[in-house]
Amino acid sequence: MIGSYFTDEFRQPRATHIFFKGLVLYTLVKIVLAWQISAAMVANHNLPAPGSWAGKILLLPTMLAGINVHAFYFAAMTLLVLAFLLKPYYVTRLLFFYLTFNLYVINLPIANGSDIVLFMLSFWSIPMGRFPSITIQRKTDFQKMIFNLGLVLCQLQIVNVYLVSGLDKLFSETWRSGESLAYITHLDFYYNPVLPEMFENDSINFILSWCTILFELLFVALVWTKRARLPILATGVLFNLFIWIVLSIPDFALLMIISFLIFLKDEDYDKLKKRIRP
Amino acid sequence: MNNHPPGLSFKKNLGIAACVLILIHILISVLVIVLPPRIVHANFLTSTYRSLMVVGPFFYESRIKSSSHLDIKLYTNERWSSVNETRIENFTKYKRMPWRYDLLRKNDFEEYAAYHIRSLRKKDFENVKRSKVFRELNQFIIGQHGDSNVDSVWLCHFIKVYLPQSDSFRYDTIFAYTYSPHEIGPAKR
Repeated sequence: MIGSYFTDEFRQPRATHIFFKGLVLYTLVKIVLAWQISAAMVANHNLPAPGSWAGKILLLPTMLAGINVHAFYFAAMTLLVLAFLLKPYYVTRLLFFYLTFNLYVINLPIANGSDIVLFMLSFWSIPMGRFPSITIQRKTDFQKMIFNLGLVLCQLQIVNVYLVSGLDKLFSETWRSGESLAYITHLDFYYNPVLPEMFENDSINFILSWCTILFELLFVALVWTKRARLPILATGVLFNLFIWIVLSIPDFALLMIISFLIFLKDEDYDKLKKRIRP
Repeated sequence: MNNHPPGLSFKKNLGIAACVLILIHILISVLVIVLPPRIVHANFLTSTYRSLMVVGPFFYESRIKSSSHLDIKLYTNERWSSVNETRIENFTKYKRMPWRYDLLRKNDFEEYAAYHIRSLRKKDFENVKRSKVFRELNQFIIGQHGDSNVDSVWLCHFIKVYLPQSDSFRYDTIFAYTYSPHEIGPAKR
């Protein structure tokens, strides 16, 4: 029965924890790299100051950042280091989500899509904790169910990003004709001409444009299949590296590459270990 | 008649509940993708779903067709500086030093400010000057240029649209303001 998928066992406990560590590390790097500009921006920007107690509790870190942004970032780094080192405790994951949400609020004027995706992935990481154990009638069925539910919802979150993006491109004449790539080469703040003549040929633009549409739509279906899962993830890594270098969107591309870790299985890590140390 | 022991029946019910939740999630996700935005954003649940659970697209058509620019000139010691396109300078620096991710975020702030000031442009300049976002941008510019002797600032926001048929550009000026930065109130309360 399909329902037993959710209650039989914790699905991919090691892989999900590695995924969580990936998110933590990503946040840590992003804070270090954007610390200076964030501090300059916060110095001139009115952060939200909620009146209600619920709002105050929810945005307590934001309020701390408003008083002393450097103290806030030091505290955030400490939490991230702990979250990286500790076992999958619910409380560290909850605090990680709390932090990513507040980071989004603090840096709202300089936020982009990657910040929303980050706090949603950290939200789905909360049920993927395993400690302390939750038992009902000395059984952990309920804990397994919320763990596996969190895992599937997290995977669907990433699949939705590609589904929406693929459909948007499929219904756009500019993308279907390949003209989109000619436009991209004229984006003053995104395009990095590492391969200067790459997008000058209309036929190549047409092919590359359709490769993008097909990848995004096929990802939605193929990432669930046994045989195509790893090849489509590998293609996804290349696709995002291309976005990182040519389109200069490093944070979004890196986050999407890290997000692919949630589709790996514990056996994949075992195989990798055997390959490295036969 | 249910022959399962109570523990097994609880486990089975949990499994069914999880499947139902996933199905509902997929159904709402598909709905918010296929329904027109007008309908999706009219309802709190679907609007929240569209913003948080079904995020994107990020690189949509209008975003790839044009770039938003903010030119700045500063009047110091009785002379105007040359036009300062800080966003281009930041991006050029980033291409040379790809670890300087902060430069991209700096550009995002100027884009955010220009976008919000643009939405105020039907108001007269006196009202724009009093707006929170204008005060923030003013203080950010002065802070970034590190010069307290600036007498005047000239700001010009325009959209550069690429025209593939003629391989040329169209420039649409959105606003151009000249003002004294000292007249502008502090950004922070």
